[in-house]
Amino acid sequence: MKPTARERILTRLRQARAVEAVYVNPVRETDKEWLARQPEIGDLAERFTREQEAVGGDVRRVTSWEALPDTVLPWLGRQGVASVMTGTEPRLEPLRARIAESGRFALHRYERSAEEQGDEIFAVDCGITTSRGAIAETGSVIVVPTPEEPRLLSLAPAVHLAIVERARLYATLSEYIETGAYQAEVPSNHVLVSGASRTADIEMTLVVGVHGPKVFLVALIG
Amino acid sequence: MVPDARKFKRDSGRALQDPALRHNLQKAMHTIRGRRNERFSELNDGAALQWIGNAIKQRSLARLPELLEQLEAKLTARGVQVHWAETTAEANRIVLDIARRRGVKLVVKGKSMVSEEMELNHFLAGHGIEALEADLGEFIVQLAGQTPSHIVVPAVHMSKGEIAELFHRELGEPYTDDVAALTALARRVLREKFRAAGMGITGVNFAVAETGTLALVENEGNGRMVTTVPPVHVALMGMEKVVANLADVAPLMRLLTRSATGQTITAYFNWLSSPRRSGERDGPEEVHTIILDNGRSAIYGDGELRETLDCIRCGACLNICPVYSRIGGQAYGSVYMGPIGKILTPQMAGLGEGGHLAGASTLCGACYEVCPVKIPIPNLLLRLRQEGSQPTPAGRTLLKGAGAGRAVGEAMVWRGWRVLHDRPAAYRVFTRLLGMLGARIPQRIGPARSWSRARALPIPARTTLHELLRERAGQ
Repeated sequence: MKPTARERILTRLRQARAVEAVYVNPVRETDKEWLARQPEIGDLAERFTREQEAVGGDVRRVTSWEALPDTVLPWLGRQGVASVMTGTEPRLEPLRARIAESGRFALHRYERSAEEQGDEIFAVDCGITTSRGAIAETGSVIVVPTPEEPRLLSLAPAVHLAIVERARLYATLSEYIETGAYQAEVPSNHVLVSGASRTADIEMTLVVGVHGPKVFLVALIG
Repeated sequence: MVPDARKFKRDSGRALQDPALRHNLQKAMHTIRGRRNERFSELNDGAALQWIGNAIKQRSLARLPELLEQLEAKLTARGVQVHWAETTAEANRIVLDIARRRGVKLVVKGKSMVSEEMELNHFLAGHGIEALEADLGEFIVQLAGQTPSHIVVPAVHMSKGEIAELFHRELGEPYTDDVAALTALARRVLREKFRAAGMGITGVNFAVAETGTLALVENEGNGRMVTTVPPVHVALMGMEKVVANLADVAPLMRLLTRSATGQTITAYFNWLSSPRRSGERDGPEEVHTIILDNGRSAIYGDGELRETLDCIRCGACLNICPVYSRIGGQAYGSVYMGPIGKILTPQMAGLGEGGHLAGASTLCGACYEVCPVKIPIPNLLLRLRQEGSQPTPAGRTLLKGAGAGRAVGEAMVWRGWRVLHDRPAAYRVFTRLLGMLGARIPQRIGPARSWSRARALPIPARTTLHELLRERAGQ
């Protein structure tokens, strides 16, 4: 049988590898130590907030999950949001109840497939999701879409509000990766979100809000 | 895109005479270089980080076949279909087969340099499938019927005025040169397309063997849209993109975004590992990965040129390059431009067609200085120049097109130079002769003509340095 492209490529690579490398990296012997060197981050919540604000994000500190609605409702009002969508995440039910009570926003729920609910998801103003935490050094929120909080919830609406627990702040991406949380689970999708979607493709001029959210809000709990 | 030496000479000359292009490039390169330097100076040891990047890439490449197999196994176990392509023609055929099976008429694309290698848009159009670029810069370049002039900022050669004209003409919208309005227009046009498309295509920035993860780096959200909304996602990756562990990604990412756009991180760092799982409400039903060779395994087989595969496509070498920042990306006439293009293109296309690009360098070494993974670009350029014009030394793998750039005239000049410098008597006679001729050396004919076209020919001094020193010693 004729070898497949896969077999031919792998055979070529195995043969090619025998050729000795000309350039030897000077840090190879010690790079474990080098890799372990991490930058000084300082207070995690402060750094996270500073980094988020540097990219136009808006971070509000909230004392507890119970206090969340008191912060979120007026905040969304000021953003000019008319409709809000969440998934089926149980921790957001109290917030949903308060939003419904207020009567100020049309409340939607992402609970069926994107094929069924597509028009609704793309029309809604604001998506609210929880998160797996955040990375202080870069101001990145770890968003892991699940059946309870699907991918489009943090992508299609013009405003994305993410909720981050302060206890789940990591100093750097390396530190987060070392926890092994991702490797243990390998979710189908895992996104570090650092601010609203943006571009500088025209004359290096920054424009916020291209294909994803135009506004990124973070409620930092604890 | 087949590189062509004569076309390069013509187009780079034209680019130098184009004040608008020079202005656009100068402004953009200045901005992007400044941002990159700022982000690097914040690191407590940026230079050390570059060597860490190099170490990670070398270590990954040392295990390339095993890592690719591990990646394939992990992805396959989670339902991602992995394809291998030796050539761009094979890769195109694989995409087409998937598209046909799924009845796809419209494809939306994230930014992918591999798809440029494949000339995928053109290929799909030939089979009645529209491929639409969703990255703003790529969208602009596609509307203009051009190819990207920069790896990271595809439309960097255009001013907002030109883009405004283009949008007005092609999209039939009222004229505006407000950058925010132009961006909003692209958002509106493309939103519809994400939902209408039957397939999304992206590149891959990092592929992690340990976890079977495809990682995409982007700012606009188009990459997330393309990998979430259409029912099929096809990820195109050059085989050198694989790293062993997720932990390897953190330092490379730290280097990539700082080098590319001067950001500490991009808006989205998107990790994908499977199609939509049972119970999930969105995401593609099918995910495919195409692992492309296209000359990479041959590059891998050379112990020196192998370093070319370290590249993480940040574009920092373009921004710093005195040649690129003056002629721009399109003059190169190849998919990859600037310093990385000058080493990659001659190897992919062969020295016969691409060898001239290795000559388009001042060898100033700025690219090596900024390269986040320390590719010794100037050394590799010298190597490619040498093999472009000389027979390959014994014991070395023959590069495609080696010796193709050999010019009889040039070879004779260098042979003469060697004779003169080997024989002191001949050298003295020759310099004396030059000194006597002095300003009478003809400038408009013969070998001095092409030199003196744009600069003054140096006039040999009447007295040589040797003579001056002897005189002084005699006094």
